[in-house]
Amino acid sequence: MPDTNVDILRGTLDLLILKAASWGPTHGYGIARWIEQATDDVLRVEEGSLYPALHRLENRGWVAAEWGTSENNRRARYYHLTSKGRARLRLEAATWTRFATAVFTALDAPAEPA
Amino acid sequence: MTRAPAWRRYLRFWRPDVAEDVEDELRFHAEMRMREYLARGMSDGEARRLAMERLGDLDSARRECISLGEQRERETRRADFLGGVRADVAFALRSLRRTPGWTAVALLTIALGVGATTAVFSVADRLLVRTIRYPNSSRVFVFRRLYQVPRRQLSAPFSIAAVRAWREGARTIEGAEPFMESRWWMRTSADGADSVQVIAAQVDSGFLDFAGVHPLLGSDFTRTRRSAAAQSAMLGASASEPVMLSEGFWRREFGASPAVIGKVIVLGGKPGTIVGVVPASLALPDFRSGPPDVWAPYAADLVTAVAVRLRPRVGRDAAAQELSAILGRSITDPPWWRDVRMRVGLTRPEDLLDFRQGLAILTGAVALLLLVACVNVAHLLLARGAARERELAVRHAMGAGRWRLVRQLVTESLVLAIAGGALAAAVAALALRALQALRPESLMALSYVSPGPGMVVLAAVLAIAGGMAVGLAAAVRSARRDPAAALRANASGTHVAGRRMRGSLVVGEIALSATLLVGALLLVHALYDLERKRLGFDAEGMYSITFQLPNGVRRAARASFGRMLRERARTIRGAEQVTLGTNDFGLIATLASEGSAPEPSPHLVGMSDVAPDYFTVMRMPLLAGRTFDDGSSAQHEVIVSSSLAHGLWGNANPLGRRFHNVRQIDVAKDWMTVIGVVPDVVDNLLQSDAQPQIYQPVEGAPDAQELTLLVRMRHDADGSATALERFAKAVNPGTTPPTIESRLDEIERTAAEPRFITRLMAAFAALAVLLAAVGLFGVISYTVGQRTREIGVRMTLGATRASIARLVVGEGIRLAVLGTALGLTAAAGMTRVIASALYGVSRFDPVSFAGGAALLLAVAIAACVVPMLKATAVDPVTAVRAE
Repeated sequence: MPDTNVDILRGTLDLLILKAASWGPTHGYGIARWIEQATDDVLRVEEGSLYPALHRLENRGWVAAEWGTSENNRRARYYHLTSKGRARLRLEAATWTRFATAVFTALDAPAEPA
Repeated sequence: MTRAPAWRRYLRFWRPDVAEDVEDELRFHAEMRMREYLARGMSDGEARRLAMERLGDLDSARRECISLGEQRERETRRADFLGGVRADVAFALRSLRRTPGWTAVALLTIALGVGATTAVFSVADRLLVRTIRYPNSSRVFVFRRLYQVPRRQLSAPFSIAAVRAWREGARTIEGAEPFMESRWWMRTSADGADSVQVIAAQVDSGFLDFAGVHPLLGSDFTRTRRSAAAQSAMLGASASEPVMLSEGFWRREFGASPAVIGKVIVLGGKPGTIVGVVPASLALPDFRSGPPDVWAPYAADLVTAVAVRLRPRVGRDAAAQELSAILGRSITDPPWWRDVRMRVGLTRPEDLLDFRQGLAILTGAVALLLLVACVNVAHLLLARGAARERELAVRHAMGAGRWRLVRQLVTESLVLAIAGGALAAAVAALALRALQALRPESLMALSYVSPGPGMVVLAAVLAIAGGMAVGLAAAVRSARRDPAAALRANASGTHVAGRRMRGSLVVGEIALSATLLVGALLLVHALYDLERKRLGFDAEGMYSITFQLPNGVRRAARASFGRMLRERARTIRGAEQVTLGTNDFGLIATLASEGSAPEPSPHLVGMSDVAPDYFTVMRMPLLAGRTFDDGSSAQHEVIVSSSLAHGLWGNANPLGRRFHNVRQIDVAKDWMTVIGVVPDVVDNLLQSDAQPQIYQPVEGAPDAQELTLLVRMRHDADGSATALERFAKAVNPGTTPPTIESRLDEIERTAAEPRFITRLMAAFAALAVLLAAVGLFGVISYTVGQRTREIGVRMTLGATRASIARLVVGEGIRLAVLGTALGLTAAAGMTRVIASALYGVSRFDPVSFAGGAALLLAVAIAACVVPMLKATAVDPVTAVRAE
């Protein structure tokens, strides 16, 4: 199973967190699980860097956090996207798509360089 | 991982615990993972191990999260604080704008009170505190020797040999520099015709080192003096003195040109060479006349003042003792000084300033004014607080914390204080300008006080400290109030305590201004008396023109010059009468009448040489005898003032009596015969008694270097000064420009300092009374507002409008009388401070005390008029129904 997992590229984690948080308030574990599930367990979050990333995003004002109660009745920190974060998400998603498209295009190129 | 106790979370009520939160968050994550793995059927231990493994480098994650969290926490707090402040300031501005009248009065009070204080303080700071800026200036003193004759102190010069002896032998001092200051004429080029009058300092070559100053340009005269002397000796030319210019004079007169070095000028009739330029900051220890324009080598053989620097840890008395012992050994005083009391001493440079006492009075007065202003502001804030009690109570009831409200009120005071402080800085700058415009001529140094940034900071600090103190007091008082009680209370009959407090503040304010007012009135009374002093002659329209005669002019030439002057002066447009005289000089004499013992001690006698028609022109009636004739000079006939005659012969007829000076000095030794008596003449308004005076015929005067033409101009003559100037220039025999003076101006100038102090005191007192009136007006209006219903009830029950008016004004008068009584009592004690500035007016002068009381009561009644009209206009029906 570990062989099929891919560590998340640097810089991509922020984008995925923003996307995960855009569905509504969720805690860090929820965000990690969402990423795993949404990518069919292909992408695996490095949990040690997830939380620092979340806090950094919070300091930048892209996500906001508040304490709430979890499904197992436990105190948990819930993150949700701010309007600034939503704009950021759109921007980063567009950039990422352009980048990925460019990489795909390159990989699909039929001929050797002219 | 152990669970933190549940109570830990409650700590968050005070302050978030970042580390604990991060721990909690990570722990939650691990727990969720474990549950996930347990659900997949793993064993407990394996689930835990895998969950921890997934978390990876926990420590660094934790650290990073904590540091990010703390950063966030800090930012939040700062943003909260700034947001709060911004909101408070905005709120304060809004609420101040809602009451423009109140705000204007408060701002004006702060601006005037603090502004006046700042202006006077900065003058005091310059003239009393930061006087000279020599190195180790705390050890710098001025050595002076004075001889004391009745009611006068005169400088007793001594030979410069004493200074040399000090430099060689004195152990208590490390430097001694003689200095002198003169007003000289200076021609800026050797051949130029135009002269400017300059303040010339004469100092020895070591003075610049003593003062810790280097020339800006060129050099000191230490070296150059010798080389210049050597050079001129070689060339056989007349010695040219090296001269240094002050920076200010150099900029003014020479456009800051570096080419002035080496330029030849004429200073005081002698050639000089400019060798250097010294910084404007260099001043003499006796800085009364401000910075000198030029600096010349000390050429005189006699000194009157010597700046000395004591060695560290040497007492003033020890140094004075040693210096005077060496002085006694190294010089021999003329024998006629043996019967005069001498006083030697070291004086702090700032104590040389006669105006010190005046400035101290002004500083005290302005401090009282500041106090009145502070009380007024306190009072205004209290009134505002009282008016807003309901508003505050409502806000408190709706959940605003007490300290939130306190902060709000303090912010309001601070906003007020800062705005007031800014205004005060402007007022201070204007006030300083006014002070300088009014300054007496003797106080040149005043014109060098400038409103620097220090002054503005002082204003701001005073205003803010005052605002803070008062705002806090008012706020704490409001915060202490029970909001429920404040809400329940209807408008009447509640704030008895508040009213009493405000009442006592007003009483204090009135008392302070009464003290100030009485002080000012005493000074005004003294000045009034001074200005109406009988002068003994008619100074109106009298001008004197003093000519310097060229060196070596003989008596005959002088007489013919005098005759020519008389002839031609009659042609001056507007001239009514002319006469001749020489300037007065003072002689310390012990007089003896023929056949009687000499006077017990020497005293100062004025001697002047006058023409026979002098008394007619001066309009001095001959009380007895006749004036001079052609034989008077040969017969040693004199005319004396009535005080001299009275001193020697009492009420006996002085005519024909003979007297002479028995002191060992070659003046007035010959027997003089009295042929006439004239009234005493006052030439200094501050002198309490007239100086005895001897008039001799001008023809018999010994060879004098100057001659004074006295001209009485017609009252309706316009442009007297210019006409006289043109005439003086046309007939001037020498190169030194003649001095023209109006006798009236000259005499009035002697009272310039008291006039200056009195004007300022009067202004401060007026301001204080105005502020007190505003305070009283505030209290009475407030009371009327509070008692509207009561007044309505009284009127319904049959009270007349007159009795209501009495009620209102009665309260005002009660407060005013109480305050005035307190103030007058305080004044009776405090006028001791100004006693010496009263020139003969008693410090318990009933006119001033009664006048002050009457004035204050009148102002108090005036302040009650508007509230009284409001009270009597109350409609009983509306007032009673209103609640």
